[in-house]
Amino acid sequence: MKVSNKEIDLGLVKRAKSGDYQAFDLLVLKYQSRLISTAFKFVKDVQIAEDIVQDSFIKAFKALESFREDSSFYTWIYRITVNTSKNFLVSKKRKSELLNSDLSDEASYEIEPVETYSPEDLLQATQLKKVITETIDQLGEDTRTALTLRELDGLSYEQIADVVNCPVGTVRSRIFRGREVIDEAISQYKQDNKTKYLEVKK
Amino acid sequence: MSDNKNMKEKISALADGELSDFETRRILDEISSNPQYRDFWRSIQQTKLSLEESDAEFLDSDISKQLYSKLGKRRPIKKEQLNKPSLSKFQFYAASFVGCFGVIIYSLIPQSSETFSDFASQKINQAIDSPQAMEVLNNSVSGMNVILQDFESNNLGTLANYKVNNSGETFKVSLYPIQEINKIGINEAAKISYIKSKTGVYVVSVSGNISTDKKNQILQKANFFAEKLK
Repeated sequence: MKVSNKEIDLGLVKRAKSGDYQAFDLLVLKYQSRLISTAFKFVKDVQIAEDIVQDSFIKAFKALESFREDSSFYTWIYRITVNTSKNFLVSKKRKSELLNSDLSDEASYEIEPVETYSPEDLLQATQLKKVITETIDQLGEDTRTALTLRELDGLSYEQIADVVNCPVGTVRSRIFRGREVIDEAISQYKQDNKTKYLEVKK
Repeated sequence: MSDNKNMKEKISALADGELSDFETRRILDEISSNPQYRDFWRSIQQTKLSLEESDAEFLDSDISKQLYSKLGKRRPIKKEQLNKPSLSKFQFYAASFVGCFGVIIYSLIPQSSETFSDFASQKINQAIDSPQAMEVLNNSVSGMNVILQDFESNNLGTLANYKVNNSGETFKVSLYPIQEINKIGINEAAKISYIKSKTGVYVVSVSGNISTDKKNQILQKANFFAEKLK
């Protein structure tokens, strides 16, 4: 049977509802990048987008009891993020109108643009993505097949075992092995980046 | 397969929804005490995201640390920095030591416009993040079996709340400059001690529903570590 993201999340949500923050933290780690990207599309500023997503997760955590378990956690937190982003824009617009009316006869005032997403940040994210995809390409065939059937086709371990004709336990360890190699590559990339950063600072 | 690998394989299976409820509970407990496992979970999610066509431009963003603090939760502490005794033992001594460490460092540096609490708070953060400090703390572990529940600094000083593992007793240890003593309500159950440095005198206070002996023991240790560092 195909394991949906919704089911995986529901297990974590149930635990978070019973007071286990670690389970909620895993949901944060899982969805933060997607949600920052969503908020960024509205506010065009990475710092504000991160703040909005933080607020959204805080709202979600506090309202976890009201989350209906037949719905999807991602859809729910996505909706909260979109609403929080929209509310931010409305309040920003109001402030701007107020400021403009106050400064209507002070045309020489300049409002500095907020700092948006820097090319360095974008480059870093692109490089990290490249590290991950290149590492996947370098995996052994069995490992790569198991991992891509899981990640791209969303097959369960049992389905993958049927496709590649091996025991479920082997599928599980192949997928793990692939992820372990990727994790090492990510750690190495981050370490190299940190070293470069420190060298530049010198 | 080592325990570490075995655990990571289970985390990988958890990310795919292939673990039983019982195993999930165990894994979550493990993740809460070892950030290495949490990082592994994150790298799995980064991999998933990077395989999607869009939304990968914020792959490296991480707001989870801020959320921990905003929601008043305690972050896992790196296990590799705590080779021996239990994490809870370490946590107890961490705050005692860190408080004294802040005072001592403060006494060695010329006065600046920074307040004591700002400086102590900075040193606390640095000390917690420093593997060397961790090693010193770890070597000094002995005695009580307690859990650090939360830890905070404000403009009056620093305060840590603890729980004794076996008995469930709770107590607080605080550290502040002596000039703040009138601003801080010290209840009758509190035991206090003074740490003298070149730049002034600081107060360590222990209060809560633990025995007087235990309070004295904590104060002695605080002074002991202060002496060792001088």
